Amino acid sequence: MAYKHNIPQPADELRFSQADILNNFQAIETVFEKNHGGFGTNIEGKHKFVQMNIQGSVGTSVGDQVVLGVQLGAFSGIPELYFRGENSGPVRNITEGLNNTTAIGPGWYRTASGTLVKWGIVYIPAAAGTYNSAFIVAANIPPFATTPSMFISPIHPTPQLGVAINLVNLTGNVNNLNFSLVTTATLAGYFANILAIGT
Amino acid sequence: MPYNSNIPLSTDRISSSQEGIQQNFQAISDFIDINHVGFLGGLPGEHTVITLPSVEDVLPTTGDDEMALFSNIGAFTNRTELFVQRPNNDPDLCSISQGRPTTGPRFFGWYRLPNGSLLKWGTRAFDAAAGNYPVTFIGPGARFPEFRTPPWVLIQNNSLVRADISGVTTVNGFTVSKAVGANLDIQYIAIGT
Repeated sequence: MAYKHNIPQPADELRFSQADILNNFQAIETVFEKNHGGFGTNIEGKHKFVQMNIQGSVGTSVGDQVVLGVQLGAFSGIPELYFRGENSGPVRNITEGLNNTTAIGPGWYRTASGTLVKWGIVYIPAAAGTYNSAFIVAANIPPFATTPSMFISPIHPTPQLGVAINLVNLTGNVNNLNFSLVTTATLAGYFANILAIGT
Repeated sequence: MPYNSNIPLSTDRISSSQEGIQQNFQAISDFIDINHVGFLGGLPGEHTVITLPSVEDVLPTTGDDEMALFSNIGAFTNRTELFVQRPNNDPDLCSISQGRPTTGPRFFGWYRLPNGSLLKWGTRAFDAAAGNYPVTFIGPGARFPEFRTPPWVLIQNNSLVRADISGVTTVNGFTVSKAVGANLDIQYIAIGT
């Protein structure tokens, strides 16, 4: 029987209320033991684990509260665990992201603080010059909202003894990585791995 | 007195059940007071903290739209760590607290992001001669997980000696092609699964 929150009534005699009270005590025990250590156990009231379902809306945090919950990931399309800071601050999905399955990426992850980390590969032309390369944005890859910090690491497609590419002036904006190629490489078709950290 | 879910009985009079009913209400209040805001606090029913004793490898189950937080012994740390179980009992658990932090600029470490990405970082010193030098990721080992697919890698030189990633990156490591020059070492970060 379901929990009854409106018993006993003032006019009830125990013989009428007894079954309802008994039912409620059993219902309370059943509910409490969901996710929790049960009455009288050495972990009473603590959580065995915390199962969370997608709700109609994300939780609100009042004052210095913080919230954990589950919602659909905007970029993954599957349920993700979210963190929301105090005063109903921004909602961050802390399990969402793109795992790269090859050495060229791309991948991304947003931390609970809101920092967006993206990694991947850019093409390096053969001739010296100044170039830019767009950060990958796709249905499953979010864009940057602010200019990120950028790191770059040139790659040779095959080992080239003692040859190295010289990249300088690493700048950019929310959409692009800009760089200057100072030393002309001996072979065309190079790439570089890039790491960008922003919001 | 412990909670009694089998009172009052149909033959009980209130005089005989009252004490047991009162004890149950006290036990309910005591239960709620652990990890939760109690009945008499502001925002009753919300959580103050979530204490998670280890499930000791008995993992929670999850439905279509459901996720679960739990703690278990970390395979690589051998201590209790925080994990996430994805929907439909996805076996690809996400570890939240497991990893090996570094204690200085020339050490090795790893961390698995809650989305499942594995980060490993480390360092490698080189001889003065130009050459193609292999760099091996630390692990697999008791405290270092192994990449399942070749990771993305970024390196940082600590000197003017030129060095690039070269060749094919594998789950075990990558190659650095360096020019002539002494005292080069690199630091690397690798991200994969």
